[in-house]
Amino acid sequence: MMPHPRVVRSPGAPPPGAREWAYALGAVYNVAHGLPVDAVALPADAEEARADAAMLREMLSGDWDAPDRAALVDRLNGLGDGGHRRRHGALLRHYATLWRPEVAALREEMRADIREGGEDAADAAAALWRLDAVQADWRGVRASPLLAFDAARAAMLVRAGFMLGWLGEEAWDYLLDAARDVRRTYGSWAAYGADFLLSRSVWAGSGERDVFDHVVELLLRDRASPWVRLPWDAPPLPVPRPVRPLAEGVPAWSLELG
Amino acid sequence: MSADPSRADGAGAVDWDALGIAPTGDAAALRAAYRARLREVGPDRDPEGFQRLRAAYEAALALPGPAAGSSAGSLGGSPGGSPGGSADAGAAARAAVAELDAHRAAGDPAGAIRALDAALDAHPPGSAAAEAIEDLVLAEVALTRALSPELFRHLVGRFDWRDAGGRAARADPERHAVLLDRLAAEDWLEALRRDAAAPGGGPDAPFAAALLAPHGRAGAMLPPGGPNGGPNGGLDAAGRARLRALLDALRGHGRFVLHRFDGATLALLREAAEGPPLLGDTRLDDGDAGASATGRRRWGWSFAVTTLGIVSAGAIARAFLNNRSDTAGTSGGAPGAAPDARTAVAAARARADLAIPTLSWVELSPAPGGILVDFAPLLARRAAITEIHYGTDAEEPGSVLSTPAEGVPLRFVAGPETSLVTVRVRFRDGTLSAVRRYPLRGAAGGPAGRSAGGSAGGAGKPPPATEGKAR
Repeated sequence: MMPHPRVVRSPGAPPPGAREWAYALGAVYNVAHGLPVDAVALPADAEEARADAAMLREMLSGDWDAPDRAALVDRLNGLGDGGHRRRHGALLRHYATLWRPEVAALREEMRADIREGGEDAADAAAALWRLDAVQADWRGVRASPLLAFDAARAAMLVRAGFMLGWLGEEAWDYLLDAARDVRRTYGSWAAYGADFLLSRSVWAGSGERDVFDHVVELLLRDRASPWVRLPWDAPPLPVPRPVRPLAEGVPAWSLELG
Repeated sequence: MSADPSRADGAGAVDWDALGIAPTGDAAALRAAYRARLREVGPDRDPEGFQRLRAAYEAALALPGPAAGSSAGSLGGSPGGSPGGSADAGAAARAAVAELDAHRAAGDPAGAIRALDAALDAHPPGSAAAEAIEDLVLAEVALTRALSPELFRHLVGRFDWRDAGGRAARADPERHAVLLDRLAAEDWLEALRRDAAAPGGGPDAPFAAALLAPHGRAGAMLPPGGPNGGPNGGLDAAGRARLRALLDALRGHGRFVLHRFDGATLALLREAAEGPPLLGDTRLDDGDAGASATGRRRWGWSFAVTTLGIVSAGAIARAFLNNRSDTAGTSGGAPGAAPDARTAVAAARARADLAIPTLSWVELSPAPGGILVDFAPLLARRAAITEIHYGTDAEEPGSVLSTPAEGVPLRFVAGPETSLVTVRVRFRDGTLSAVRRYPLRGAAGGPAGRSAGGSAGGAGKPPPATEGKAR
């Protein structure tokens, strides 16, 4: 059983200026993980810090195949260079253009995979859900930018990198670029939160509600939430931004629109 | 580029025949001509012809006007090698692409174009550096999906990539073929934009405009139905056929440009051409009522669970042993019997659920004598599993239980000395899952702000939902 999700702030000062706004992209994971929404460091209590660090290493290694900084930077670059939004965006548009006989044939193919069972069945079930979601325009999925899920995960990974001491100042540039991308894509925190849930459902291939539905609702109404405290359109985060050299081993979030 | 090529003080000194073009002050045309002629009179193949060509090119660039400034200062290089040799050429290429990438990452395609031009203008066409830049751009930039269309078009023009016999085609025919496919897609899209913007437009113009319309605007842009209009969006048969052809053309180029279209608009136009979508019977979500119930269950908002029968782990084991025979008796089939399609779908869906890191496999709550460990989330997905393996204070779950009959709970109270519960499941295909760990530290309550778990990885939480798995 998971505990009640709560929006809690750190006792110290939040990251300054636009950094606080950018950091709020990952608030949904901070709350789900029971962390203060603006926590960038491990807790002061040594025992808690050790436990959290161990959990973060396990999470990065197990879920993200990122046992060290280099691998973490690689995962961050993957999210910054298209993440799931690119692949799923192309897939959803493809599904939107399928003629009805093609939809029927594809659906049968997926059902056959499900009937066969085995590892492919789960993937087929997820694919079938996506296909049917597009046909029904489930929660407006056809027009979803699918960016929020990638952005929130990127912020969560940066937070993990900060807490483990794997990432430093350079990661703020990455996060601010993610924030620029998010800002130009959505019109409000509510739209960002809604698309987080939607893009996450597309990733999971399932529309079942879970803890994150509640966390998003909470972040949109709790007075301690950065999604309530911070106005959507300030401070300014223009695109294009000033050019800076890309460095090897430093994460990059691309703002190029292909 | 407007240098006057007819001026007696300059143009007359240029050997335009060597360049194979009429007098011009257009730097791009000069570069293109020089590159084209280089293929015929390279320094190795025809040294004399090359000297003549090079002299002509230098003289043309030296003409007053915009063309002259482009590269006259760096003509010390040769097609066989820029000053400093191939190492410098490679470094120049690296630097140029790094600059290009920096502008691209900043969301500044115009700056990227300027940076590329500046890098190329520092070297004569055909020089080792210019060719190294082209090769590197072709290898690392040209086919990246995120490449902005304006930058792509500029690269195509700057490097003559339309030329089927050009350097790119000869150096890497496979990549060049893909590049031409992308170019065809970009050309198709440009033509679509022209159709949409053409005053008066042709019969396809309204469809082109609708296809390119911003989200939510396409419906109003479709032509109204005529006397022969059918049931599909008011379009008559001819209109539907045209729209269908347009969408098929888009799909033909979809690999390169489909992501630039609004998905809702695509679906709307498909519907106008063919009719309503073919809806499936997939349960897309669990509905508000169901969601609410699920949420309460997962978050443990009700502590009524403590009023349910709390039994010891030993008692649970016995209950399972009993239920094992019940289950076998009611299923009526031999193990491994092929399930029907509905069962298979339910199993696949349950299996997909169990792959979601967000989903905790156990529910933990305070209970008299310790922490109540409830396997309800697993039992709700019994369709996917045949066994539950669990352990307390052991990394390897050593106790094995069959899934009980539907409606029979499975839970136990872990004593206060227990710090860890581990769980794995056996799926219906016989494979075992990875072990999931559920630390119990502080599950009965913790400091404010750190949730009941007391730490990010603390008790009462599932493994952190970080969604790192590829799907």
